[in-house]
Amino acid sequence: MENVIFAVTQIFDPMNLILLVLGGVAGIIVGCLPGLTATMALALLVPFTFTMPAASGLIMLGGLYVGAMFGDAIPAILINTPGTPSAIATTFDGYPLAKKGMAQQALIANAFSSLVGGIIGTITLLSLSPPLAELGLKFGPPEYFWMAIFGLTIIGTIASDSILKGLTAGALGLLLSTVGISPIGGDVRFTMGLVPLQAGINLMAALIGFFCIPQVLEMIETGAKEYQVIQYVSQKGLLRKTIRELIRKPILLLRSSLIGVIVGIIPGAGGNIASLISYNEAVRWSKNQDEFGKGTLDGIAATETANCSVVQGSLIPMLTLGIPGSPAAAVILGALLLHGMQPGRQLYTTFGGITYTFILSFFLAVVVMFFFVALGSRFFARMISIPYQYLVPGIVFLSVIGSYALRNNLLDVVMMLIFGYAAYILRKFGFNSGALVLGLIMGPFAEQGLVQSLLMGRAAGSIPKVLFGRPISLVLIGLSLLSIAWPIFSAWRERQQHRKITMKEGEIIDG
Amino acid sequence: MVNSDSLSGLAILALSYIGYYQSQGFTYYSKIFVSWVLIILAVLGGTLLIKGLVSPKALQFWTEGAKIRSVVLTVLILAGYTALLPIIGFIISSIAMFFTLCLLLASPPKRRSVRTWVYALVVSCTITLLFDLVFRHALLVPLPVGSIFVG
Repeated sequence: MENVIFAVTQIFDPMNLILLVLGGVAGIIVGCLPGLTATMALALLVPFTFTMPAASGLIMLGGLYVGAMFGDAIPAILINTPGTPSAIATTFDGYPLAKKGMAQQALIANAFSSLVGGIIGTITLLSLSPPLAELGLKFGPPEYFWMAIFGLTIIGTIASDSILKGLTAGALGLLLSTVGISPIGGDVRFTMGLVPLQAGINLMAALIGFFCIPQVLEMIETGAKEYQVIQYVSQKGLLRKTIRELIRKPILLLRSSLIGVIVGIIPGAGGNIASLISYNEAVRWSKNQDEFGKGTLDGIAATETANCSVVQGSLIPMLTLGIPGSPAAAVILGALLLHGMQPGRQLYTTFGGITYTFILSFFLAVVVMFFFVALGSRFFARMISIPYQYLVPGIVFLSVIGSYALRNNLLDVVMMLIFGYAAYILRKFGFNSGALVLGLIMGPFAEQGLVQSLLMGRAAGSIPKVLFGRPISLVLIGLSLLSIAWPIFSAWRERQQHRKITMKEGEIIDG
Repeated sequence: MVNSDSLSGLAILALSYIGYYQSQGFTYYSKIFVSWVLIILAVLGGTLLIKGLVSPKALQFWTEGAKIRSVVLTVLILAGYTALLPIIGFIISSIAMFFTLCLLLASPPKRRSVRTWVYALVVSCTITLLFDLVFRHALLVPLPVGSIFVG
């Protein structure tokens, strides 16, 4: 209760309110701009929040994450291009609605559905995370080791194009995480004689390099695009009318929110998967299936509710077990670690006030973003037309200043650029930056867990018993195996289905 | 034709070997995790190499119509910016980087117009000075002044 009271006073602190709004508006703008992702914006913002109190920084980051999820539907509706991958399914009905002259209704439906998804997601985060964090108390070094391995198995999902290359990128990330003084043993490893590297790779410089620079270079490579924004005239009374129409569909909103939360909790599965599943379910359960794809508010409600509740869902495993549910959650994990906050029970005890401030600020963030997007979409739509010759140098500028500001060290800027160029080349070869970053984040947990388990095993007289004989470890091993097997099984099933379809088509042609 | 998987596999194997060679001097507890990671990396690299040989896949580094010149120049501009930061300081190097990139990314007909140059200069100066003000005075982050201006 003490923590909740502290959180409420923190959230309504005027400075924090300003930061929440600034973060949210920045998020909406990033969401509006096709090509920029929430992960990239979070990576750029973290260094700026480092000088702030932890609670203020996290409020701003949370606002940005939520804002991006609200904003990404605006270009999906007005130019048929999703602002982030999470809004892919919103184009299915959003753009047809806009073409019918119902752009304003579609934008209001997006704002209201995101509000519902955000509120349900926050309630789930608030109620599920403390008991899960209690479970974290039972964790010893072997459990931490297996938890890190389980976290790494997300790679199978995020690198579904090539699991082999995803795993290789993850292993490269693990190797990078060993740069610096070893946690047990104290040797100086792979620093190439550079003293600043003894503290290890600067996580923020790496995050900015891996997520921002390749995106900038890809934008330059593909060139500028001229977007035709669908114009509309605001009509009075539409806000109330659209909300009333959506409130009459509580099952659709609740189902989509729950899909979002569950998909968010599953490590690696992000907003794009949640919104597609939610859309699919909405079509399946609808009495008017024919309307989907031609422009229905139900389609937008299904995708945007799920898309927004993913945010809080992805934070549940991150805050409680240290497993980021999405690349964006991995960046927020990086911010927590920079503030000296370790995920787990400590977040709900020692740092309880800050953690509850972060969680409860989502309630306010979604309400504020609802009004911004419902009433100001026309203004944000103009952002889509920012000339890219100003946008690209702006991102580069923020990347450089962000990586420098943390330690006032130019080596971090150099490292950021090297990582950025390397990530660009690695992407060309089919390697996934997300998998590499995951390895970099999980590496220290895995190493400390493994080495301490070995020490425990030696003291107990049996290393296998310590590593493989504890109940929570066994559950985590099982989950890891399932997590590895699932994408392989899915790929195999997809191949089988594809083969069946090809055979049927062949029979029809032959027949 | 460059075989993408084989090339990646070879690079990963080479990296694993360098890592193995470097880790020889580490003590047992500093080495164990590194050794496991290097073994996994070598196995994955080997698998990639074999995969590339069994079913070769050509590397298509640039997509059709890619603006290769702009990408290469951006890479060089950023490298130059990082090199110049400690010498001529944050303000001058940032304005130069921003201005050059703005002009480079403008469409060729616009690049020749005086208006584009003026816009680019105004935007570069405004953004750089604004950030300098915020960082130096509000966040108290000391940005590089430049070695030629010190002493």
